[in-house]
Amino acid sequence: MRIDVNTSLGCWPFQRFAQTSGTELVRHLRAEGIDRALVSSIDATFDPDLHACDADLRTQTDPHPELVPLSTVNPTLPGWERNLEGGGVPAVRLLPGYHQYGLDAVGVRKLAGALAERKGVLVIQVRLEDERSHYPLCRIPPVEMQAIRLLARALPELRILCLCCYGETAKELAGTCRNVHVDLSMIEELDTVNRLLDEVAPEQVLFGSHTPFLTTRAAVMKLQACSDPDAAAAIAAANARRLFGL
Amino acid sequence: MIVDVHTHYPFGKHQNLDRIDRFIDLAQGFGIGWLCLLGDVLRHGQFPDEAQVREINDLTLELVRRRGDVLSGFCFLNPANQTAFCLEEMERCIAGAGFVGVKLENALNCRDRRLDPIMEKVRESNAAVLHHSWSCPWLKEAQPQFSNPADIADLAGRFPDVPIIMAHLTGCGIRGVLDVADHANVYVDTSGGQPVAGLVDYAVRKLGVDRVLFGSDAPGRSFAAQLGRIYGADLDETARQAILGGNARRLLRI
Repeated sequence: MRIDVNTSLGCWPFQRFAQTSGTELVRHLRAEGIDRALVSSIDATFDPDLHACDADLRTQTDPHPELVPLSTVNPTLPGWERNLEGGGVPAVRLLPGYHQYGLDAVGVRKLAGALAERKGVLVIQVRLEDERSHYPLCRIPPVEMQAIRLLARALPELRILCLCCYGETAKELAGTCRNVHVDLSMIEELDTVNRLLDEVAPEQVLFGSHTPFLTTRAAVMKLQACSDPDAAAAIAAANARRLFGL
Repeated sequence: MIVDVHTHYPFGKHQNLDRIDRFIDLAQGFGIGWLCLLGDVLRHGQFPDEAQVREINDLTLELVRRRGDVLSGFCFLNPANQTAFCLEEMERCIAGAGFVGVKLENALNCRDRRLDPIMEKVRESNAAVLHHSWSCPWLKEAQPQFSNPADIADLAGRFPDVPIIMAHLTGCGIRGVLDVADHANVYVDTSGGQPVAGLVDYAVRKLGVDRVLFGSDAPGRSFAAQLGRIYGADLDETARQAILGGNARRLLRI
């Protein structure tokens, strides 16, 4: 069983994707041995109407029980409360870099507090691409580690998942804040997962591939190289199941 | 046999030469049977002097001496040093110790004519040049001499009979592939940066499968993720095997 907590669907002006529909994504993930996936909207990066983006996303994910849509919200705009309604564990994704707000914004604090009360998950997209590969006129800084740490410490009962952070950031954050979780997609060093687990508890690490931006197999092979089978199983699925109630 | 044309040892926190066996074991665990060592190229910053270049090559020489069964060396150079020194260093490493090529980093932009005698000696030695590159205009702020793929194309045009491996497919990106596409003597290694989806397939379509070589940039990167980008690419098995080893064995005579 493998659950991918970091996939997305939509259009991106800087890269052509091989998977552009729910059907294509499911077929691709199955071929990579991935049974379920959280999916967020790529269009929500630049389109200000995030509810419309989520509606489009759901037209792709609804026919496929393997795909779990993850809403993107901008807490500096009104209306994010709607995203916390409904059954299951409330979870929303933030894109602070692209939506131009800090994690100390009033709206973020309100959203984070509401999620903590409901035992939800705040998913923070730290980056979408390596900053060195950004289009020169569209350079977006990653979310600062210190801002995430301050939020995590201010609300220790809030569960936070950071997507696409690099290894040193992952170790610093998850190693010092037990309520911070990280995905594997952009963490890389020699013997990646074994070295990450030297400093981070396995319960705080989740399998994420960042498909379709990155090659799915890279994340799969990183996980396969984990030498602790119990930790590998937790990272592959158990942690995602527990965190998101899947 | 899988050949990794882009590794560094020692490098960064991996400084213990006695751990080279562990590094090789990790590679072999993924089926990588041969590694090219490019040297600890940032050990002394961007502009190493002659003694520093010699020290970096001494480390590679020592490791190749220990594990010549699986390692080939590249002779690291700063072309801004005295030309006579560069040529002597090539003689010492290539003719003297069987290194298979020259590694150039970002000490001198490759449009500079001080590279020419080095390139002529590479040609004379039947060796190859592996040159760092990246498509990122603002890198020039911190690395004023660094070479982008258009610079590599200029070098390739001046020396069309010398094989040049342009490093870091992810960093060079689609723009970089297009920059060098018309130069049949330019190869690209797949190392470096995140395993961006679709890039290996794109390089194969634009350059032809014979001009794409597997490289990991380990230990800064992982063998798992960097092989994953090859195994996860949309390629037939013949093309995959060429990228993973066949092309490098032919080009570098490994």
